[in-house]
Amino acid sequence: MIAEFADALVQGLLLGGLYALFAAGLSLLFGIIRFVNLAHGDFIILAAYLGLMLVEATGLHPLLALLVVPPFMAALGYAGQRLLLNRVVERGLLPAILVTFGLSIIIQNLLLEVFSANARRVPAGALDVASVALPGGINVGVLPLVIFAAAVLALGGLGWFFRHTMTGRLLRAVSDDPPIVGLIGADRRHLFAVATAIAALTAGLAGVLLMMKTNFDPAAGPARLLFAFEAVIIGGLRNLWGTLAGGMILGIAQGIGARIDPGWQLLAGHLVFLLVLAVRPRGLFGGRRR
Amino acid sequence: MSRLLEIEGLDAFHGVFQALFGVSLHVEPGEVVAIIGANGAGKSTLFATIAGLHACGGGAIAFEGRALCGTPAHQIATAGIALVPEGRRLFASLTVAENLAVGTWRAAEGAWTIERVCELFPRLKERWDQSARHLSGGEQQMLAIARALLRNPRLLLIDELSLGLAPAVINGIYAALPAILRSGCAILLVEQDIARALRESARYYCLREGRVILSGDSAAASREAIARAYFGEAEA
Repeated sequence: MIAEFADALVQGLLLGGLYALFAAGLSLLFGIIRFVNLAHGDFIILAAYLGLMLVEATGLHPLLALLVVPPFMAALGYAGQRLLLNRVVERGLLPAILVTFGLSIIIQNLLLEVFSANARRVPAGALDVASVALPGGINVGVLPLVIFAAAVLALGGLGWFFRHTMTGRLLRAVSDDPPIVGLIGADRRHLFAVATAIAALTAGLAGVLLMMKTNFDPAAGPARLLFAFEAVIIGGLRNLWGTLAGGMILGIAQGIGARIDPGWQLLAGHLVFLLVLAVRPRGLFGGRRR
Repeated sequence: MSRLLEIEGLDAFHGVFQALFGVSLHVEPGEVVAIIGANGAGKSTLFATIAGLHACGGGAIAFEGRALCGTPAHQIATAGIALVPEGRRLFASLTVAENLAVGTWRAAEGAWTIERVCELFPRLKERWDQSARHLSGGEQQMLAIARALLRNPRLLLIDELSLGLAPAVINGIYAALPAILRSGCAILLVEQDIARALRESARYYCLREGRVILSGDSAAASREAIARAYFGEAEA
């Protein structure tokens, strides 16, 4: 019994890394451009299908899709921001929400048209069954470990990027005061597009990891968006490590819920989210309002 | 040809409200020019329009002969005009060091480097790793001027240099102007303190309700005429 819960805990923690990665792109766009991308979950699923197509067409190992799909998504994100979203983001929250809601519907229907409604998964070969034994009789799959490590590396990389690179500092500057970056010679429309490219890059990473981990279908995006929202809100905005903790808490709640009753997996996650929202609306690790 | 900045008949609007009416002025290379006028006279709108943060509603702005109306702010900054905006508008979540670092982004080559601006304002070094939002008003103004200088501009616009600052701090910042001029940069500044504005500048323009109503050499300015212009009793 104890071992079973310890197992749920570990699996949940590992799954939390992926949830944190879902959340990173969402909170990044909200933090920098102040807009909520309702199509973020669909970007993740789109990336998963792109990975599926790549693996089926070339026979490459699915992990190698990590080298192709995220950069492609980033390019798509940059173009989408320049051509479409830059027209609406500075007109308040609502127009951007409407546009990304429309994008979400378009992506889902496009995927449905091309790939049908069947659930898919990309087998990762030997990785699927490899596992390592932890003390206490817990077995941990190598694939969840790889996914967790990739997610943590990506989050750490983002944190480093925002602190230590010129582009990262410019993105924080544009988040503070968009018009004023013009005074230092920077084009905020370009910076917005760079932010969206980075968010789409994380969605690309998340999609490729997800396609090896679980079944997905064209309508799976909104649920990923919901997990991303929950992880961000549990962890607190503007805090990447808080987001990771938020993702893990959500993952653990879902894991333990599933052990009690398979039908409780999602419900347990939502209940923990509601609890945090009621008790600490700024999130467990959220900063004070500045 | 030699004029650095030439503004002809500039109009600007806030929605349907007209803020500037046919403003004409010019700045020569290496000159200090003061803009004076009461609150709401259009001084900040004038500066924001020159820097491209506010749209030109009519008329023309030429910088070194190049027309600027309709040019986006980041291209005007690259062309050689730097603005220290009203309220300083520092990047609050960045440290002093980071505010300076982003100031050097794609800046022109020239006299001003991070080391040089720190020699000009040594306080900045002492507050190096502090977030910009924790600086005092004077330190914020120094950082805002330093950030603008790092672009190595040929024209520096300083809006409300002394707003909300203690007299000793204001003196300290004005003491930096000669070094800025020696670097080959002209200065156009908005100053509420008329005596100070006339003392620091070669020429002045007085704005009231969006119009230039008085201008001339600062040394020859009559305080009475300016006071009348300021409060709306100017003849002609």
